[in-house]
Amino acid sequence: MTVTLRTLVLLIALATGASWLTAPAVQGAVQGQPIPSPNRAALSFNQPGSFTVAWRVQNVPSTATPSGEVFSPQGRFVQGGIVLGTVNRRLSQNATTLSPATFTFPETVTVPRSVIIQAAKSNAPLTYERSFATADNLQLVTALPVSLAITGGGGELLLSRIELTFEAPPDARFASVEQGARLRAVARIRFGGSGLLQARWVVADPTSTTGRAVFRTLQIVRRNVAAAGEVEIYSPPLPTRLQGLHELRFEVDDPAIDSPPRLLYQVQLRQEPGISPEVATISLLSPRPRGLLGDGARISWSAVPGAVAYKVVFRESLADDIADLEARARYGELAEDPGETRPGETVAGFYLPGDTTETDVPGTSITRLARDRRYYVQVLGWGPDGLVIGRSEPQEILRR
Amino acid sequence: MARRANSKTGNREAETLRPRRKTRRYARQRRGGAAILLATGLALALPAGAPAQDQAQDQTQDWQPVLQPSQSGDYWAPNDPIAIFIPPELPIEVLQNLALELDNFDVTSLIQREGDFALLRLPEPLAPGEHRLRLVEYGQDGSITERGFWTFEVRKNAAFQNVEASANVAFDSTRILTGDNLQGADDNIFQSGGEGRIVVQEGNWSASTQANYLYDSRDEQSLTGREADLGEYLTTLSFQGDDLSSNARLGHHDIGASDFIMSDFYRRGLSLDIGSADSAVQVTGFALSSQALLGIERISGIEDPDDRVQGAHVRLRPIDSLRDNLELTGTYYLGEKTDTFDNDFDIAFDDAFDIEERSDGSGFAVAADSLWFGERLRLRGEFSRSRFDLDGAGGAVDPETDEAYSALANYAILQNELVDELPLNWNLGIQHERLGTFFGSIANPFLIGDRITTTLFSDVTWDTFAFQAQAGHQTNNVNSLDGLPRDRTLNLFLNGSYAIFPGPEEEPLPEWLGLPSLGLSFSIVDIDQTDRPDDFIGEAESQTISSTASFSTSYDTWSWYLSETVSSVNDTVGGDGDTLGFLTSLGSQFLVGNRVSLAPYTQWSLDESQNLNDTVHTWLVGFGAGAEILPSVLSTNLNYSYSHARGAQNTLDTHIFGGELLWTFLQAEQNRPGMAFALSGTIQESHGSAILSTQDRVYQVFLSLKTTLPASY
Repeated sequence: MTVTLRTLVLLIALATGASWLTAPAVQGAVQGQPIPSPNRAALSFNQPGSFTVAWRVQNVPSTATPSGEVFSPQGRFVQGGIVLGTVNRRLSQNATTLSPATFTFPETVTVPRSVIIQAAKSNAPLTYERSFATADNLQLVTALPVSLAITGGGGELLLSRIELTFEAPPDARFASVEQGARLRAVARIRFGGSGLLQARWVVADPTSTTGRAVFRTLQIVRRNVAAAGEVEIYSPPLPTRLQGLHELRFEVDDPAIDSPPRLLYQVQLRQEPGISPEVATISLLSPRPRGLLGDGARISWSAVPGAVAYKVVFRESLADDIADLEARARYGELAEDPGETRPGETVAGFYLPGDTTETDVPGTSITRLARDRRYYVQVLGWGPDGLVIGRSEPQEILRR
Repeated sequence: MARRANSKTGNREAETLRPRRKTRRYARQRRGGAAILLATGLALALPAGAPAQDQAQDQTQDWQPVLQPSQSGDYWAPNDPIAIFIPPELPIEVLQNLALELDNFDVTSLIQREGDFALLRLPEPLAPGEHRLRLVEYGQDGSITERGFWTFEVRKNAAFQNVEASANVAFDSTRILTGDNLQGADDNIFQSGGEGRIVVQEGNWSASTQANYLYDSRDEQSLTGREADLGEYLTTLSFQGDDLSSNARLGHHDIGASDFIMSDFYRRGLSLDIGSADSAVQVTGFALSSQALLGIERISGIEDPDDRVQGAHVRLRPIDSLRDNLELTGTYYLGEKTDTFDNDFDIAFDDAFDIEERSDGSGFAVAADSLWFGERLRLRGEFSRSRFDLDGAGGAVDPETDEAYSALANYAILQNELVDELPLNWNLGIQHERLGTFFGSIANPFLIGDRITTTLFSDVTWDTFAFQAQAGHQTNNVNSLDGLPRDRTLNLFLNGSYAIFPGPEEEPLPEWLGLPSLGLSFSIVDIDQTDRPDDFIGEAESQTISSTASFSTSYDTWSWYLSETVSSVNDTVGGDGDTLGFLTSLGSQFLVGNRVSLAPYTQWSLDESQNLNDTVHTWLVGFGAGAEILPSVLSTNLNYSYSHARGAQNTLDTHIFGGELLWTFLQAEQNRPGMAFALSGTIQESHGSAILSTQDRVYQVFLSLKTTLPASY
């Protein structure tokens, strides 16, 4: 206890710079113990972490000439006197005046996961240390250490991994999409600690990617995340109106990260084989979304001018994995739909002449749909040249 | 090779094709008006005979339609019409009750009369492959009699059942007309991007390949640092037999494993799967890159043994009677990975350096997933063991072996129960998961180890109403390491949404309300350290709360939305201190006539950090506009955004205005290039805040010749 108290007093004295006033001046050397600020940092267990520290070093030059270089050859992760790893980065600045001066060396330190795990296995405190010297006097002076705490779910928010991919095709990292297509990206972030994640989705479109890319903000992101884990953040629909190269970035304002992850995507002229470039949207008027489709049910839709035939398609409804939904629900991601499903294989359907917009579902189709199962229904309209000129969004119904 | 359309045996018969002489009778669920209505079309299309009563009786009972040969001779081409001979003597009562099905699609209403033939012309080409055609007659007693059944093969050409090739490429040649602050940008810039796909199919075999690419004359704007490079690609060779199916894949893909050892692992590499056609057994062997790769370099993804995972995945449905209800899976992998952490962003340093971590590992997972009681109850269990050496052989940290397991039970308490004629569903579930402190897998890079979690969850859907709730309890430091605290985390999440969508026979909503949707979300996460090492300096206790309310509605020509999120962190000990945040989003979309669209939006956020006495205001305003001045010839798109931040993140106020005027002088069509001139540009102006006074201005104007080529075969 006495030792701890003494150490505390010494720390306070050093932090206030008292040591420089009391210690005898050595010419051309580092004076007193350099001080890190802040002197502690939290790291999350089992993932690489980083912290930023500024070392404050007091140099007193010799009377004849400036001291020259003030430097630290390397940093060390130390636990119980054992060096767990080194950071072989030389910090250096030149002292050009003859008067005493304080030098500040900012440094962002990446801590390998191996150091964090070795430290967590032992109960001894983990520190990050540096020593400083001058070209005049090569004797290294050890700075006060930065105390590193290894936490589980608590502590400051730190991001250890960000991956940007497109939502569809799933996990793609480059996309060539057609004009007007719906496109979203997802940022998968692995984090330690807890706190507020402040970020922005920004994009540069072909009005600038042909020259100097200018990024405009599409959306501000604020997300409270907690207890170390992974969070998925979906982008808003990305611009696909202009043909050409787009660059998307996920800019994290807080906590600071190295460089923003980016994705490139190319927007192409819309030219799906078999689909008219001017494809219209058909509105399905009945059945209602998630409504019932019983025997003899009627189906109706909005007309597409010029249609020579319509096709009504019934497709399977595939549910997402329950575990996926559970993971998505954490940290406040608004679930788009808890019972989210997607269209699967075609199971039945029928064609109708182009002057029809309403009909009973024929017996040949309805008998192929199992009762009490969900299906997707979609209407497509064809023009005289064999191209699809209208289509509805697939809509889920329940066969009753 | 049976190129001719025929019965299922594929025999080449004479000129006319006889239907299968088997008559099936189905119990009809209901003699609905639909079949009669459609069959009427067939009756009108075909001539109705007027035979004597006894003859009619025979013809009604024992008549036979005949499918005519294809127009293309040896095989059916995608656009060939289908003609069926119907005996002209058939009375109208019979014709009225006929229906024709093609591949489970009712095509009765498209049939036209041509002499004694029923002629079917689809509005779309028939897909290459085997098709089934069925002519049925509805009986007076509600039965369905199959009058004809044929299978026939559609081929793209004589050599291959199907050959498809398509490409969509663009090439832009751009000249900077004027600009400022462009930092040495080239005057002339060339860009190209696109994708291509080829499919070849013959009998049980098919092969396909697809790829995309990007070219930019400035390498800094490229995918990989090269001016031109491949993006992602996938080549597949498939065999689909009656008993066996197999796929070999090379390129970017995910083999479909979803367990602790391997999940969402979309990587470049090679895999081969072989399985029974009935899905009872499937075995997949794989070798994939550990890294996400783009570009031509490391083309196969598996060249580098230091950055590769390999293994096998097995999927079994062992019990015939439970084919859709019980699935067993297993995954084994072995691999290495090299991670490099870039560390070159400091101000005061002499030599940039990177930290390289080379890890290796192996592991397996076995899981059983099942559905019981009419698919109401889902039970899933998984066990997994991993060996993981995060700094590789010879590293300071010894390899660790650890285990993980999970158990899930989910029960549909209500399954499509009708309430007010609408289905109500209610699921309730519980999941318990334990991942050891050192559990880890290179093939599941986002898996978070070191946690024991129990989660209760429930969701309810009725009509357009949906509600989801979840409560969880979690602890970490599973292996009780001396230097690590133990945290206890409680979380609760609630989410509800509702859309008002009146049916065509219901009373419409007031016009001013449009078609509205509402969403509400609430989450709370409470962390407490229940156990700390001696002299521990990283104490942490906090409570994080977020809630979001959103409203949106749409009208005939416009829509708007509003959402508000309030979030707070009550940081009892450690961490960043208490914070309180508000985020408001408001946006709208308008259609003005058929040619003009407008989309203004704004976001405003306020974040208060109470410990640091800091407040950050962020404001974002923007709009997008598009107009077809001359349809398909002249169009314009404009966008504007203004961003502003004050407080701890004191950044520049930035206005960005971008636009494009596009004159298409040659409209692209399939296999014919299109060409257009685009005049485009951007202006960015940044103004200093009270603290920052830097001014930054960029403007640039370009003229581009845009060439596009959509090609297909």
